[in-house]
Amino acid sequence: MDSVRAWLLHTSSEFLLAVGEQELVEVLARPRTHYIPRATGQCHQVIVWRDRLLPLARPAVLAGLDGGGEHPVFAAVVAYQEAPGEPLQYGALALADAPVSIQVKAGPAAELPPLDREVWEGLLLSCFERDGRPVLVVDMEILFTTRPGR
Amino acid sequence: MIPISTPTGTRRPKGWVVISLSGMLLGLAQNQIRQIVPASALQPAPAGSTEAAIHIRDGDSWPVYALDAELRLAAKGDQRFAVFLEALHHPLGLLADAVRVLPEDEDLRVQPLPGCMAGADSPLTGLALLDGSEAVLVSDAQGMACLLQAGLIGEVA
Repeated sequence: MDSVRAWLLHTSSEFLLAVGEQELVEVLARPRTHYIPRATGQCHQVIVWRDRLLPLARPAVLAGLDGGGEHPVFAAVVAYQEAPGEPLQYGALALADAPVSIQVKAGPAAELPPLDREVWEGLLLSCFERDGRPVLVVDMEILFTTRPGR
Repeated sequence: MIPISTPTGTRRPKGWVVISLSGMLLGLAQNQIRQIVPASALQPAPAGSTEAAIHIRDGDSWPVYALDAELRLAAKGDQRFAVFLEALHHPLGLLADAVRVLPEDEDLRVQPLPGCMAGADSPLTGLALLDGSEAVLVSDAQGMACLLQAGLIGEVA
């Protein structure tokens, strides 16, 4: 396979993620957030979506960057599975801008930005470059089900 | 006082008590609640103590705490109720602005706290959606007792 379609997600002005075309389920504008005390820095809010509460993650915080404020412009609802054949689970990512559909071509992996290995080991699947900036592909199941650095 | 009755010989009802404090909703299983008391029935806490108030019951003194939106100790405000949780030695009281009793377990559909949200000192065990739009933080007596008693709550705000 030479290339695949994906969604480019601006989780903050300086931290880009990509998710597979099928992983992105819905984009919400100006979602109402609920604060969860004593949660982790990268995930301390939830949003209401389809009669359930979804964790709202800010993966940029895991890279030591600004998470984009308490009131995200958009939230991307993404689907993941805890194991093949298991029902879909959902989580949300806080976004600073609307997702952009992109074509990702197979090629050598890009140089990684400096990341805390303890936090990102297992979480980071790959990294590619777009317009001179690194774009990270992360494991959504690990992002939403694991405490960072555990 | 608003007793939560436990008829002899019947299955102890579960259900939930949802208390409003510092703008949050905290859900606790009804069978972990000892008593709900109007705040007007409380006594002032001894000077210098971490409690916000005390409740004298059968010659015993039950501590009452106020919590802020970060679940840290706070000073007593104009809360209307104290909700007492079953705990190992004494029931522990939490000051609340409002109390709502949900009689059935199914009245609160609790989902586990996502792993990515589980802070190391979090007393929360789950989350639930109430009335289609409000988030309820679900905890239990043990978790709240640990929070209140293990020195995790920091200084009084």
